[in-house]
Amino acid sequence: METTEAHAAACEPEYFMRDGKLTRRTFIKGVGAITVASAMGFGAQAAGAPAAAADEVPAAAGEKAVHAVCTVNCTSRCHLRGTVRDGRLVRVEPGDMPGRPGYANACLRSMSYIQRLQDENARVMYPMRRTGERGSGEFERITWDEAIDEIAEKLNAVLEKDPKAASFYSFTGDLGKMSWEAPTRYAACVGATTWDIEGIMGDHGASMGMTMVFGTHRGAHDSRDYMNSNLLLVWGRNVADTHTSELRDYVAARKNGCKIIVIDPRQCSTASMADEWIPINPQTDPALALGMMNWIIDNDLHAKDKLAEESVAPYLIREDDGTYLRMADGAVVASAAGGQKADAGSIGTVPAAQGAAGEGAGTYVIWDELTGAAVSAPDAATIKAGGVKPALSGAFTVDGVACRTAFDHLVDACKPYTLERTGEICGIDPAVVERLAREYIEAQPAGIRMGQGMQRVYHSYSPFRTVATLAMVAGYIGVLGGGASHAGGTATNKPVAGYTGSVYNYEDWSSTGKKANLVPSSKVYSAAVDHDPVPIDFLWIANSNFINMSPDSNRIINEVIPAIDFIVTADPWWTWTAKYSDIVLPASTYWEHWDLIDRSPWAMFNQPAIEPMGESKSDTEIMTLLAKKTGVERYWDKTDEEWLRQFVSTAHPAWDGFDWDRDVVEQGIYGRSDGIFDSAIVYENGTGYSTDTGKFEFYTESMVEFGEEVPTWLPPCEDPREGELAQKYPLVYIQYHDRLNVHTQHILNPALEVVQDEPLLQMNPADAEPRGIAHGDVVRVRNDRGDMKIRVFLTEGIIPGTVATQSGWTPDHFIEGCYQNLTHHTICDAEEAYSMTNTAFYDVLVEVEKA
Amino acid sequence: MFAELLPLLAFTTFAGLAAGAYAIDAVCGNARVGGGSAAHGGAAAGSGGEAAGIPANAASDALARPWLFPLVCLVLLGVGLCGTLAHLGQPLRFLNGMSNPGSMIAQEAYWSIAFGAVILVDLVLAWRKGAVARPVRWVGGLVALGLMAVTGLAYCKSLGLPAWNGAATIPLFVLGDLALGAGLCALLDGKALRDGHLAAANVAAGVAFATVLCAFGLHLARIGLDATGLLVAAGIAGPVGASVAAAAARTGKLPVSAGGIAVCVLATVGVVLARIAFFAAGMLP
Amino acid sequence: MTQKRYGMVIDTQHCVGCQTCTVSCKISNEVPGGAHWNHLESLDGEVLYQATGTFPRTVVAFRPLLCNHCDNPACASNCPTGAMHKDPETGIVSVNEDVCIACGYCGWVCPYGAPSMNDVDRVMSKCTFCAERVAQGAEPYCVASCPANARVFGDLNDPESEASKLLQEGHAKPYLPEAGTHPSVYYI
Repeated sequence: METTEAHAAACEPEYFMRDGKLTRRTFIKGVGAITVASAMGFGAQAAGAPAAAADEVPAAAGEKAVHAVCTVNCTSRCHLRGTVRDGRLVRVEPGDMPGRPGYANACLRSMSYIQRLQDENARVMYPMRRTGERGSGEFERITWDEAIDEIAEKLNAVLEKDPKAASFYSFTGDLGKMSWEAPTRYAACVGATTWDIEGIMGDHGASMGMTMVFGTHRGAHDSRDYMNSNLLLVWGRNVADTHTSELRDYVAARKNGCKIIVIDPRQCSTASMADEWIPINPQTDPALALGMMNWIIDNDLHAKDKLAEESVAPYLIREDDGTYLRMADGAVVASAAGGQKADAGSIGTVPAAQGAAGEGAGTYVIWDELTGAAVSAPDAATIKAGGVKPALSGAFTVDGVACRTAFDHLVDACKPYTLERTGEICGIDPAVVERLAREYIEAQPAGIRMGQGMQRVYHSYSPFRTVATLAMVAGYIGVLGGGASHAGGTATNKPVAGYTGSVYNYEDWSSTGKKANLVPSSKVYSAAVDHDPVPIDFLWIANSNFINMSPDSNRIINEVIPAIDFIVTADPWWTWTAKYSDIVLPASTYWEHWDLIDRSPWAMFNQPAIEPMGESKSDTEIMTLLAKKTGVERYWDKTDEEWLRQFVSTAHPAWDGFDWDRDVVEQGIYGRSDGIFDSAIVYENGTGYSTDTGKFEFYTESMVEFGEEVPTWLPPCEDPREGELAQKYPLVYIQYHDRLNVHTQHILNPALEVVQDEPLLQMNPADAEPRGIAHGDVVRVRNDRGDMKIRVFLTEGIIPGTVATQSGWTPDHFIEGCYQNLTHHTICDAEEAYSMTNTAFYDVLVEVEKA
Repeated sequence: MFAELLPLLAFTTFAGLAAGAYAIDAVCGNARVGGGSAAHGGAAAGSGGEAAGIPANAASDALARPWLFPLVCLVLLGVGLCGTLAHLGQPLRFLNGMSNPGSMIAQEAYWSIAFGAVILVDLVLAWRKGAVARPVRWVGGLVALGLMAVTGLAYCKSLGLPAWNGAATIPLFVLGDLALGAGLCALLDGKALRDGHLAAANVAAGVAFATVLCAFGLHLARIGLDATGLLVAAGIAGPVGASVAAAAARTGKLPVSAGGIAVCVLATVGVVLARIAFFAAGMLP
Repeated sequence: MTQKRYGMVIDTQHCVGCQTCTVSCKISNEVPGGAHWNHLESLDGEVLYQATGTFPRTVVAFRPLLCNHCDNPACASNCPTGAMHKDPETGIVSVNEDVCIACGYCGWVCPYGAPSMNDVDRVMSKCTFCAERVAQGAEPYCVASCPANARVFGDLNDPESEASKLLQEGHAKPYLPEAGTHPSVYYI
């Protein structure tokens, strides 16, 4: 994987999904974005990681040490060391991380996961055919041959009519390269439809917001960089539980004197180790960032030089149409097609300016105060050198076109967010807003870790975009100990001079003959019901508990599922989704098959540590079986192990010193020779942006038509502040992720029952009292879409007006109903125009009453 | 969960009945001796009249069947000890439980064995001689007091269970056992209710037990627990109920046989309720 | 005085209540049935995970509990069988399962509720400080797995151990010292 681009991959299928081919990027290109923070005193790893693992305790007699990489989608990718005795996994411990001692991690979920995955009652053990009604859970055991024949017959009929009417929906249940990609790779082989996953699962707002301002979806300071920070804002994410491997770094930073403030509607686990928790109304994070910016600018504390040098702040915006002023050969030209996507056919996780860093950058215009003239916008280095002095503010007329700077637009957007108004919107004392703004600007430097919790809202691009813009206004982007990082993790490699070949050999894997038809996942309901943009006559679900993890489950069950003729689910677990499928195939877990995690300076491997349970097979094996019956077997001519051996067989210097038996079989992890194991930051010196302007781009031309060209705050889709709905359903309902589970795959691992053994509704006593609700009461939570019956957990650690449950509980565990009955899937036009709607899981109103 | 406290309840109740009875009898039984001290007998006769000994007319079962008291107590102690075995996860290893004299559990075993031995001697002597050997009863009463104390102490030393680790625990067991014993004495020798000090002993034990119930209730309240319902019920059944019955028997408003039964049942119910509250407060939360 | 005095310093300021310690101990030590050698309590409240104080000035804090391997262990002095004992070399308190009669008394007398009945084999069980691992030079499972690095294990008799150094800083306090058992686990 290649530098910052690597972050982009953390939540998206590999690139061949876009066009059936691997999009290859040399990692030279993006490397400017990465700066190793070796100045911080982290010892530099000159040439890769030490090969041998040192810290693990040898296996005892009669036991065998095994290794795996955890591939569930938290965002850590932990290397696990397991112990096998008598063919069973008996324990899981942190596995060594060569090159980064102290980063070894295994969470309670990964440890207890082995109980569930070796429980034949929890697992799908054999291919099963539905015998009762969909959802009844009545199935009969069939053979693999019967299953594949029946599926192939259905599939071949659909493929013959319209390959795009066959859909392969692979999500994040197993992010191992092969498990994750096999179903969609198969789709590419037959020209079927795949789904761009981020939208419906609710992670895409972050990607849109990041892409708007940085030009890439991900991008983060290494969590060790907060050793350089005086203040860290953990904003909208419970990182302690959801990126567990990094918690040690936050603790170290705090012990080093970094004040940690958590901004969250709930006093989450992370808040319990922080210096301060600032409770905030859900869906209002952009308002807080705007209020802070307004205070900073009002007090003339904004980073004027950095804004002028590294952002679009001085760029001139036409007063007539709101586009960037562009000049060619000294004359204003009609706006280029800057708002157009480079590749209109590819939607989704690669929106707008992807990969077009600085393209046409020379046509943008600034006003040079030295010469008193409009000049072509120079790059950051030129401005820093002093040759040009861009005007940050002001109205200018260039070639007869009236313009103002982008910064003035931002200032205008911030203006309404006085401390009082900000406080009122966010539910925060205005004095606290002011103190937060002051502490943030005075910290020098202060970092921000942004999390997806704040972006499961309507207009979901706004939170990340606005908070990142705050960091730029404060001058913290590209600064050690600063940044506005997507808490999705860091993966960095360093360029190898003169070498341009691929690190991994994905030639065969990305060779699929045809292309998959990639459709935004925000369209999956309308596809099934209205055949827009494609019909779904055949649906293959893999790595996904689709019904449980998608919004408005009643709508799925009553409208979406009935509209689909044939559904196959390949899953290790008897999920809600499996019960609505016509054929259920037993998939193996990461302890049972070969696989690879390639998105880090390490290559981490899975291999069969235990015999697969029952007749379960890897997704790759399953697709290989199907390929044989559908005429594409030539693309599926290898065993899983053969694929993996091929992937790592390149001459790239990354593999210098690589030894299959030692690094894969024995240790399960390889620290790449080209890996950067030191702390690293992004965008130092204003370089590395992949935006069209090549700068930090808080002015987004393509959003002019929605009035969203600069960061704004818009009220939620279901607004608790006013209106009929708010009267009927006055409480905001959000979900959260904590210690208990990532998604549905960990729910009630036996050893976790001591932590929590049923879903609970968190509620502030201030909301409970007028409703006559006491701690432990059973309540009904409802809105027009559905309801759930659940026990109440009263706590002062949640902002009044908001109630919350963990995401991931299944209907089996609720007294009645399920939380996804309450959520909704509402298309957002601005998001669809930019790329695709991100599910506003946390933009939901409910009423709670004693059951 | 209730099943977990049952063995403890059985041990403390049955062994407590026996121990309490010996302690009470050591004090109150002196006036009602079949073949022991004539002087004492005479004193008793002064108040009662029948004590001079008409063994056959059922004037006093205790005098007629001196072996009955130790026999009943021995059976009760045995049943109680079986209760302790049921509490052990490894009952077959019970002998291990006497290895550490510093442990109150071991002490309970020592005192139980000693108490059992005294009862056995009492039984054999009573059987052989047909009369109560008072000194043996006195020794029995002393050993019984020791058993009550170590039982209370064992629970009191539970640092991990705040409900038990309080000043009220030892008196709760000692006085509870005395209340039980007074009741048992009344059952075995109803006439003593009317004639001897037994009624007074019952009332005294009841009042003392009621006091300690209040003290225990306050202790629970202080550590944030509440068993008021059970404790009040215990107080009504035991101290109030048994005392009223004893007084009624004493004043002749109740036939002595019925009075003895009533006193014993009420006292036992009171103590059992209090102990359920005690065990539940320690083990169930 | 034992030769070594293994002990632990737990940083409640950075404990996030995840219970990785609880689960790691349970799974890795293969603690049977319903027994747990580690457990978690609220630091300042009644209900685990419930914030104390009044919104918005609230606190969520935790106290992980395990055997305190006391210098004067109430469990050992009150064990009727002598099954519960303190190792003179390491200071580790453990139970001889072949001798234990499973009376449960150690669980009552322990101020920390550390002994936990193994309801499968019907004997008492408890935290061993992962004695076998420690003998191999590794850290106890709960220490190695703590994602907040909130547990520091070491020989408190060795002034150079990390745990001793933390104690020397003076912020660490034992829990329930009034019970008089002289615990070897300290909390910051």
